[in-house]
Amino acid sequence: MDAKLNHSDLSALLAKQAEISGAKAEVFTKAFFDIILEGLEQDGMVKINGLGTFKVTDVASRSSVDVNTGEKIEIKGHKKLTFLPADSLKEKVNQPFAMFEPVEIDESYVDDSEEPAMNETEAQEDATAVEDTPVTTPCEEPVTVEEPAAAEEAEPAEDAEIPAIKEEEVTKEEETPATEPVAEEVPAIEETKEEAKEATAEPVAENAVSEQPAQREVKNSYPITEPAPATAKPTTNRKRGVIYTLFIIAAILVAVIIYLRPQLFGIVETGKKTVATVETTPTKVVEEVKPDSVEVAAEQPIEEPYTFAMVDELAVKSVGSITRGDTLLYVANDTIATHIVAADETLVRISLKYYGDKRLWPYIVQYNKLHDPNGLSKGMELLIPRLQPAK
Amino acid sequence: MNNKEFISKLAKRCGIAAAEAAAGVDSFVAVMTERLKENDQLNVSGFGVFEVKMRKERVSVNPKTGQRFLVPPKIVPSFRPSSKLKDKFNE
Repeated sequence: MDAKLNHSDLSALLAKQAEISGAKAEVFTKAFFDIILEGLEQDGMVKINGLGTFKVTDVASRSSVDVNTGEKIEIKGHKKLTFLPADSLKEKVNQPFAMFEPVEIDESYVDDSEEPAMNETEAQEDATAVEDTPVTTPCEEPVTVEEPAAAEEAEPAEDAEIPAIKEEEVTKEEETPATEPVAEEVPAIEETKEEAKEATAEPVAENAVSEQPAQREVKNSYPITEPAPATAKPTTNRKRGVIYTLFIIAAILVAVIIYLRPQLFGIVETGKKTVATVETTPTKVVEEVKPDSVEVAAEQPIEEPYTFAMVDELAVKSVGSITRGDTLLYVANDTIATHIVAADETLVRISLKYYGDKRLWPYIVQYNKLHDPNGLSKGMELLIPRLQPAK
Repeated sequence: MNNKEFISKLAKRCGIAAAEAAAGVDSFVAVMTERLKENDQLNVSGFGVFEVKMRKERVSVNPKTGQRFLVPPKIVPSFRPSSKLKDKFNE
């Protein structure tokens, strides 16, 4: 095993194998290699059955480059001794790997598995790319030629969401508009037609935007117009698929955004509402504004922009529940204490300490005319106002 | 020089019959094969070295059809002539 055997070792082995004396074997092996050499000198080749062929071959002269000097040199042709093992020898030596045979590599199967995957991801990338850019994407242009209905939907769908949200406010308190029942019937029919994807997307949207039926209706209503181009142009199925996925992704995105940042909408709404109420007559205010903000609105004329700003601030701070006691406006008319801020003390804590309500801190900010509510520092003196309900 | 010539020459040199020489060659080749199978290296001074080499698997392409084949690994016998032998042919 991995041993290095020399001439005498070989002779000894031969003596054992052929059952001859060692000396004889030695002579024999020596003669064996000597005659090979002689034969090579004589004919240039020697063939031995079972071992292989020794051959002297010519190597043509070739030009090369001296690695040290970079000069061109010519390597002269010379003769070389080669050995070509016999098949039987090759076979015997290669026995450990004899069971292997060349295998054809089927490339097509690799391609099949990879290419569709690539296409899918590309399509998705396209979709998301379109998604990220504004609603008026150039991607839809090729489609618009054939299916203007489907293409147009993208914009109304997106645009409609904002009006829908606003509209929904109105519908909640006053009447349900005529469009709602119509739209609600549509989903019943359409949902069966809609793909499984959209179906799964729906519940998500529903959970997320449970208080916005108007928006869902918008989503459900696009299939109304879409089947028409489908039947008219079956070849555009793929494009339609892309648009479908666009819609679905857009809907999910909007739903997620609304779900995650409801305050964005909430703030905008309350802000707008209050502005509106300031401008419009008090009777309208009562109709349009939610019950909680009614009080605020009613207070507005008395309280001036100062309190108005405060209300906004409150709204910003506590978006979730609007029904709470501190929507009552207070008037800060007197200083009840001077508070020296301790380390790690926050306005919320101070508010809790003096008023028993952590949501009343904006009054302290207001009263002390602090520029940065988060910039409290240790040792700061704060005047704590007495709060009286403004009535 | 073919096998027959080689054997007759060998018989003459050793002073034995051709058949005997042939048997001797066969057994000697058998010994060498056996050793090579065991991954042994056979050094014959003044002649060269017989050894086996491992060839790794590779992918070959049929240039005509473009088919790709995975060629399995294999063990091949090889011979390295001694430097003395190399020089001998280039004198």
